Amino acid sequence: MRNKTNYVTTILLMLGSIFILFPVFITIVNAFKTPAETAQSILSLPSTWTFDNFKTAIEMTNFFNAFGNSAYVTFFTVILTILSNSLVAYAIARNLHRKAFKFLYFYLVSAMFVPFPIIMLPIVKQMSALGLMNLNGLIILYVVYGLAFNTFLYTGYVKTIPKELEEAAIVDGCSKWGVFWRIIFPILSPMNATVGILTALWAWNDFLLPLVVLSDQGDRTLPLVQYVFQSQFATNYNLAFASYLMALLPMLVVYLFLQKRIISGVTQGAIKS
Amino acid sequence: MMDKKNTRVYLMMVLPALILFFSFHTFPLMQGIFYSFTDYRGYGDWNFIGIENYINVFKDPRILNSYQFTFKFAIISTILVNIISLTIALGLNSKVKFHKTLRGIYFMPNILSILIVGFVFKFIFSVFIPEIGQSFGIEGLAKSILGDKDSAWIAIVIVGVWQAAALNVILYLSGLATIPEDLYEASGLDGASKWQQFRHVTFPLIAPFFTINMVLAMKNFLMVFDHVVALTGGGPGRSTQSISLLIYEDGFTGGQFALQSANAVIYFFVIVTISIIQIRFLQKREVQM
Amino acid sequence: MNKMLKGLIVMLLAVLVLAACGDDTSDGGSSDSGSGDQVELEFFQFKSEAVKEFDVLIEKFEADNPNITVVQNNSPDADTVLFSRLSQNDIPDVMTINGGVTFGEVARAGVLKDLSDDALLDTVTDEYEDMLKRLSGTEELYAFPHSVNANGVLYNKTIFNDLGLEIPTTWDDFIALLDEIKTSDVNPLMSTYGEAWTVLPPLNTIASNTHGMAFFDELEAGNTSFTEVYGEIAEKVKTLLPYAENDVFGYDYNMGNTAFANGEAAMYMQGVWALGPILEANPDLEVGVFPMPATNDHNSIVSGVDVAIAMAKDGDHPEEAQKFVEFLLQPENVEFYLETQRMFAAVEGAEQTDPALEELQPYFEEGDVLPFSDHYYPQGYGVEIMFQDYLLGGELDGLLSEMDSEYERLSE
Repeated sequence: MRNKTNYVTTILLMLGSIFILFPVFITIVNAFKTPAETAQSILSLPSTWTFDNFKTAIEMTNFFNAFGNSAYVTFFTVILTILSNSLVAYAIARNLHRKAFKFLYFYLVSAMFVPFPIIMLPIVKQMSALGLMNLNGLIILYVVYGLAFNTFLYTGYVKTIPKELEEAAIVDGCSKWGVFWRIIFPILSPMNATVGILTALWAWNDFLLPLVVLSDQGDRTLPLVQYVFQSQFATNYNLAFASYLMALLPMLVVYLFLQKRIISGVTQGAIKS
Repeated sequence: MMDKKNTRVYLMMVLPALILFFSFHTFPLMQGIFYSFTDYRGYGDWNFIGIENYINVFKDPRILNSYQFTFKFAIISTILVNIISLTIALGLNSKVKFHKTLRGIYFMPNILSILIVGFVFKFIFSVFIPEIGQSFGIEGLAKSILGDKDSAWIAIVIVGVWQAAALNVILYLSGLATIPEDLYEASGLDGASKWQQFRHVTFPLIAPFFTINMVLAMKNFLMVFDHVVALTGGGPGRSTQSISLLIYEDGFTGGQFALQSANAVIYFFVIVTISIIQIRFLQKREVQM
Repeated sequence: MNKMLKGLIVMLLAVLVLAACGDDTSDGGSSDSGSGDQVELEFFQFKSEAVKEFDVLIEKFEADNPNITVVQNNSPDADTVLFSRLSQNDIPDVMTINGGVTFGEVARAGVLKDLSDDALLDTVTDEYEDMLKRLSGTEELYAFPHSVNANGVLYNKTIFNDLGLEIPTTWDDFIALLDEIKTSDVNPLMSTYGEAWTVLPPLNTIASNTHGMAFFDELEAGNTSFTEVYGEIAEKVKTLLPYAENDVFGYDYNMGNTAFANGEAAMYMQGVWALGPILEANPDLEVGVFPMPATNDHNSIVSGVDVAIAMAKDGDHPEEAQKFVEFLLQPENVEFYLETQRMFAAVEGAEQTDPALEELQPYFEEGDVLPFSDHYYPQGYGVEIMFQDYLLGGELDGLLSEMDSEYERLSE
């Protein structure tokens, strides 16, 4: 009885997914159209699939430069976040019975609730004093700010790993560091995947932090260069759509290929924490 | 002896990160809090003025207005996101065709930049829908809802829910996956209606997921920023000016850095208080069920 | 354990000290500006629509000055970035600033070079020099006016010819004209109040022509109030509202430009800056601009400094910066800029020759210009938002009392 395919639900879910796909559809078809074609019909397919809009948009936004910047920031943010945040959370999770570490836990996690604008001005001052108004400075900030939420995720997961595992390794002559890198870190991989995915999405899509931290024109990331189409001289929606599509595309492609892993990464993380 | 050595190692593990965190988060935060007791404009000279900014926060009609909008938006969006994503998750969890593809589609909004998605939705609300309304002669759709003080916030709710539901669907799905199939038989409710099954078996088991989803969704929506920037910029009038946007705009370019720092401090306590209350209340219910 | 604690404290202190005293030691870049060395100038430029033009000019400048490299920096949100750099005391060598509230703030912060005695001022129009001084509220001048803009009524010449319409010169004529067009099937007036700032062009023209600039001095002295003066102004702005037959609050600036370019309205109250995007959307449009007749008396044109050029007070390369600024203000280079930007020159010897702007030209020649009123409200005042609220059905009394109370709150 329960194993029969539920066709009603299937159809309802398919109808619902139209609502999800619709904005993406609008973006794609209009990215290939001319303003005149869009004026005629927003939904119709373009009469010819030309890449003119993309060419112009690439020029206007210096796309490949911005793409490179975004990729650089995202890549190193993810790697450094996973390596450092897991270590911190591990140390905290194993000592939660102690007051100092418990305090540390709440200290880090409560930062999740701090509204960013209050630290924005002081942090900009400080970054500039340290000469960090560049992509590397941005990476540092992402790794450090990520601690708040990631400590929360990792700590929950570490608690589920039995301590006996480590004790056995220590008896075998492993140091605490060795225990972490050789035993705990691999066990954390599902959570590493979760954190990696969430961090990548954040670093790739963020707007406000790069806006205030990057002082050099050549350092612009993708979300920043998209803003040109919202400025007061942009009248061409089709160019904007072409540019939006190019900014969204890398993530969409990655998602298309790694969809199963991404979703299971997020899922596993959720269950264990 | 062993324990002492361990403590040292553990400290070494957290110290570098802790120092960085302190210097790049707590220290600026302390500066921000410090400035909330001054008349600092973000540059130049400043004087101590005590708690005057905190008094002015409660007298400033703009700030009160932004709280009104933000709470209305956050409460309604949180409720909608959880209802919708739980419904979708239940659907995806039943025997459906194309299960994996559908799940992939529903999670997709989560990977897209909300700023860019917001720009696209702005086009849909202000160009596409009014065009449909005009060509089919539907009065209610002929004008952009972004241009109406009473309805612009709905557009922000739609985009907010559109995106936030994605992650919550997946979280609920993972919760549902932890429920063993035979539990329904064991509970003696196999013959009962779907609603009763949901009410008495499914929901209590995923209650912890419900708690975390409610808390995180509410917190994120209370801090709403990108959605508003992309769709309305806070307008029309001040009808969709969120607290974050106001702090950013007035504090950064509006020359009221100190006042908005005070606002941000208060806002921080408001968010923390709400989250704690939510967690307490929902966890109590988890136990009762 | 003890050692580690000490180490920790030292590190923390180091970070604190670095952060605390860093303000004065903003990285000097290449401070070795000795002869023969390559000097790099940062040129902070706020107009994204003028990046190309400045690139061409920079290339020309670099060809003449091979030892200077100019790096143009154009930011998506120039105001925010400028303020954040101000707070770090990291001031670009040369920068363009819009002659508005932002300029006043930056000038008062004391980070710009005092230009009051600069020989270049001989070529600059006096009205705009005064305007910038008024904005900063100082005796000194902190930027050179480069090019100036104007509010006006953009009109579709084809529609005006077809309907046999004439350009109005008084408020009553203007309303009569709107009534006349209303009887046809043409939208008399494109209005785009979906964004708040687009309320400003009509508001500024009416306000400046109604109360003149003395109003702000009277206001500061406490001799008048918004309630006394702005009732008439607000009602005029509201009177114009029903003549716009498009979805006024659903249209933003970009949509309005596109629609006007496609001939969807006879007139459009905006500024000369809108001509660029409109003609880009439809290069064949026959478009002109006339001064908005805000009152039944004489009406001046409302104009402000669109681009002002300033230099850092303590820049690393003052001589090279000065050289570059002199270059930018040369009449031929200003004229090159005006060709594509459709503004007017603040420098003598440079002319705007675009036929679309010929009706405004006499006003500039005679100096018959008034500043934008919104540049003289306190920073963060948000007059456009208050007016947008009012136009969306707010009460007049509410608007006026809000204007007064916000003025009081912000000018403390």
